[in-house]
Amino acid sequence: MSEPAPAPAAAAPAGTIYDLGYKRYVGARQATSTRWRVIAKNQIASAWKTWWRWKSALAFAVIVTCIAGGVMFLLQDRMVTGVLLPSGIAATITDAALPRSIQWYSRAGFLLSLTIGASVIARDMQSGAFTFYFARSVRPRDYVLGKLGGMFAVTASIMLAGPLALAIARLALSDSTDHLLRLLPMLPKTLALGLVATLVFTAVPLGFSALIRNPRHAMALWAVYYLVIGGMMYPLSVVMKNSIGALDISTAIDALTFELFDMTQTWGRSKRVDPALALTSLLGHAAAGIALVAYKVRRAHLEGIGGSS
Amino acid sequence: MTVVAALGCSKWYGHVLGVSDVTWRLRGGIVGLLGPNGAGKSTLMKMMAGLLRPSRGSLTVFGGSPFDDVAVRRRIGYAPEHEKTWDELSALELVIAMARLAGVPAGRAREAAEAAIAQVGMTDAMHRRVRGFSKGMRQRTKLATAIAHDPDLLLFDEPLTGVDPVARIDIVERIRALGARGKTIVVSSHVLYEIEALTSEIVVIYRGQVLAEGNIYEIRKLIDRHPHRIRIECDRPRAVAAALATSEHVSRLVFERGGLLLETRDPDRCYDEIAAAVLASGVTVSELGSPDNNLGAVFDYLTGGGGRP
Amino acid sequence: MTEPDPRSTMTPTAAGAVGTIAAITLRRLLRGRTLWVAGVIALVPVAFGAVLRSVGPQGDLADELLTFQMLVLAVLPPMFIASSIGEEIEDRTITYLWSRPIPRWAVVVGKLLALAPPSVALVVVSWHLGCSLGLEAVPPLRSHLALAGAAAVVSAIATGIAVLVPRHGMALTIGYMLLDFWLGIMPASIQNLSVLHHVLAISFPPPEGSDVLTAAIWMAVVGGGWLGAGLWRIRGLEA
Repeated sequence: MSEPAPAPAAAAPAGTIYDLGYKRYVGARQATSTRWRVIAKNQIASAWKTWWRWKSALAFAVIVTCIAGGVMFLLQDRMVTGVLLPSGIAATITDAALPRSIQWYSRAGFLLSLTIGASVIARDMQSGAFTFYFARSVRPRDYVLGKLGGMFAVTASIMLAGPLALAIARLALSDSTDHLLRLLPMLPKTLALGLVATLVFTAVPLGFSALIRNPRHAMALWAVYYLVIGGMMYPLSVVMKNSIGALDISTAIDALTFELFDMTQTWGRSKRVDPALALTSLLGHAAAGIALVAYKVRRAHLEGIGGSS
Repeated sequence: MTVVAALGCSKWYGHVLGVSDVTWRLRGGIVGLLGPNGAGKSTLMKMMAGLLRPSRGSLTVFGGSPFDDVAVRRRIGYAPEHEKTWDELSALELVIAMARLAGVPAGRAREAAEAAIAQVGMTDAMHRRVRGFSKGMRQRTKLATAIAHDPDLLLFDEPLTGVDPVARIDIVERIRALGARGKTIVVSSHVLYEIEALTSEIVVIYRGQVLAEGNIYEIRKLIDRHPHRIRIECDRPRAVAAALATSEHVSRLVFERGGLLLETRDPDRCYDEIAAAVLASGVTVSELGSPDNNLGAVFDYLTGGGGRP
Repeated sequence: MTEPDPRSTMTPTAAGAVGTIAAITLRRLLRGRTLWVAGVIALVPVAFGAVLRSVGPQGDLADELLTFQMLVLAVLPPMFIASSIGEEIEDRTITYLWSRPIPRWAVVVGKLLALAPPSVALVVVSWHLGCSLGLEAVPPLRSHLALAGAAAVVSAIATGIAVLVPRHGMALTIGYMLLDFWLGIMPASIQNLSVLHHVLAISFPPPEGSDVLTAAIWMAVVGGGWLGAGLWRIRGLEA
């Protein structure tokens, strides 16, 4: 009987020790120029928290859209008093609903700016968040871009998305293909208006927020600027017989709206404001807001501001 | 006399459980509330201070509900964990206000405040505004607000957080002095050696539940499943090991640099045998002690090592 | 049963607690920057009046000026009160107060008592100076009283909203006041819920006259309703 074949030699025992401790990350790193995206995403995420910030303003804007859209559909052939077409005849409710609703979107935008925009940078300064940001490879411009970008996205959901939805609804209510084609320019006009309005409601409150370290004071001063000082511009333009009324953000948006949609309001403040001046005022406000944010953030970075008060 | 009595006390915040089914009695002295971050220490403290109401069960202080009964809170002094106070006020103004709100008559409030401030060693800075205080000074001021009205129960939530080592020793001494005067004091901390410096009576909280309570050493003795370690530093550890190897009370022997570490489940008898072995072998012992006679080891055993702060 | 405390006579009275809290709040207000910012805001209508005066006499802008004053009113009390209460709750300094043997509502009432008068004073003085400069005429006494009452009512509204939503109390109160303006122009009885409507009715009554008492009662009901909601909520609020 033959000997059984010897078992193959067992493999030499092997062992591995895994180091579960800290290891320096050695993988690919994103370029510094992408930091602003992280800040913007964080801004959007934090705006979405709780019901009293973005969600409430968004809910208000949705209600405005639904009501305006419903009115467009249900009262299609009715004329609206106070809004005239270039020919001088009264506009239909369907045509006037979108321009008239812009003021309501502006109110939602203002509410949003109060709960978020006018305090976000001041809160960061007061809480010491700047220390976290600038202890990393975040430059002041990344922070500024991130905050502007994040707030722009949030505000656009109200000032841009809402009017665009109404513009699409208006196109859907066209009588014929020819009518639809004639109305198509409404889309880029609404887009342009929405972008300008979004820019203003983003940059100006952020400017106030950067100007004053106390978030509540910043909020109060923005509210006074928008409501009180802005509201005073129109009567001043009446008594002084000039166009200073264009400095009122709300009136300027209104004037620009009716100019873009080739309509005239027979009452209200916007009829007295030159649309070109209105656009200049809005863009000037936005530029001033952005410049203020950039300047104050850079200064805070250089001064090492970041401790909580 | 029972100072604090918790019976099946639970507290949750939405879906998050803060404290779970805690049944515990506090009869006096200085007690350390020990646990990692998020264990439920502050929740329990706040329920004792009348700031939170139990979601289920009951928690009484001096026989009454601190949340509902205003008179009970008269006998409680609470120093919260957070740093924020009214920075515009001076330390003296703040403590006077707190004393008055605790019922000290207006005519005596200043005297009581100055005495409390002196007790915490802040007399030199009492006229300065709290805004300019260091962390240690803020902690002392907080303690002063808690003791100014001479309460019977003192609740100090993380009183040594952020305090420098010198100030820490001083504050510990002052807390011990308060305990020596007959006050019942509950001190919470996640830093083990801070509690060890203050008291040997502890309540260990882990994941919202009371894991152990009583004297540290008695608790240690109760942990049967974990053998007690004894370290012997001597000139001839092998000689000692040879003498102890046959002992039925020694479960493990480990040679370490300069000494010997043994494990036993019966430390009292083992110490006797160590003494006999040392005499018999004629070795010179430079150190004899237990790495387990400290709170860290007790905590590790109780939490399975997972709750180490 | 609560064990007897030999020092139970030292528990502060509710009035004493309210007074102490009011005193601390006022002291903090005087030492902080809020009063300065409020002063700047109150100067805006005065500056407007000065600009109008430089242009020439204006006789028919009284209603408009009053509306601006109401807009100032929509910002000042929330800035004082809503932010004070909101900060106290958010910063958790309220733990110092609620761990004391005082009723919870004493904190709210104490702050209201301390912060409403400066708000009232700033609004009324601003109105008086703005009108005197811009219209070159002292506004009627009833308009001062109406604004003073409105400032007190808005303070109560701000208090209630701040307790209900501490973090966003100030913003929501301003938003509520804008809604108030819109309600005021509604041609229906719902306008009775508007503070602005009643202020205008009292200050510049229509030729057929207006019921001042009814207007005052409506304002008190609105303010009292919000304040009551806040006081009800604070009983169970946890720190």
